[in-house]
Amino acid sequence: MTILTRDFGEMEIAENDIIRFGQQIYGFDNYTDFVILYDDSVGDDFAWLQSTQEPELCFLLAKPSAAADSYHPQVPPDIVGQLGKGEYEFWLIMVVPADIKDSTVNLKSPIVLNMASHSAAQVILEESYPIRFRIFDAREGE
Amino acid sequence: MLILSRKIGESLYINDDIEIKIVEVLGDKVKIGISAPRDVKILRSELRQTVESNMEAAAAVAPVNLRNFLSNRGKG
Repeated sequence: MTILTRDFGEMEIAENDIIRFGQQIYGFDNYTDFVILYDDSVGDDFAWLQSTQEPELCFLLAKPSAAADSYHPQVPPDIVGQLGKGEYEFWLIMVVPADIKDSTVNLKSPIVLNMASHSAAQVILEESYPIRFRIFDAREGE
Repeated sequence: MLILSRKIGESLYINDDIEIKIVEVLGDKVKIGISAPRDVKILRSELRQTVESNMEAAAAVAPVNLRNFLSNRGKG
């Protein structure tokens, strides 16, 4: 099927590419269906979470490894029940202000994906991770 | 910010119709009971901050801008 995307124009996607959020992305209650879009030119640390229901709704995601060396979120049991068993992928929602170097990622409330069951959720973790972590600041040792 | 101390089982009122009660204290966790009319919105602060952050995140950033930024950074 063809969908209209915010940043990549029209794209052809398969039904199988669609990821369903059983529990909403906080603040976006009515939008459940998304696809993940990659752009080789930015590498695989980043991806776009594009709504298949609203072309203008799209989030930039970053891989936790791009932000922190060690990130071991505990997914609460009710979310595990919702997503089903399998390998979970974690992505962080990124806020990009006018100056990209000031971008932040939300380590406290990651997006958890179960690609095998095509389901996802945004989880607010118990652990005290920051909601706005500056992803492009040089890390120790760099 | 008004700071009060309460013992377990004690409560306080906000306006006439909102009651906040300390139900239980277990280690570093405090269980708080809230009685309020249905139209009063009660939100954990991390949930509210997540909603705010999500809303800002939904603003557009063109891939070309991110691409340029990353290559100028000497990475990717």
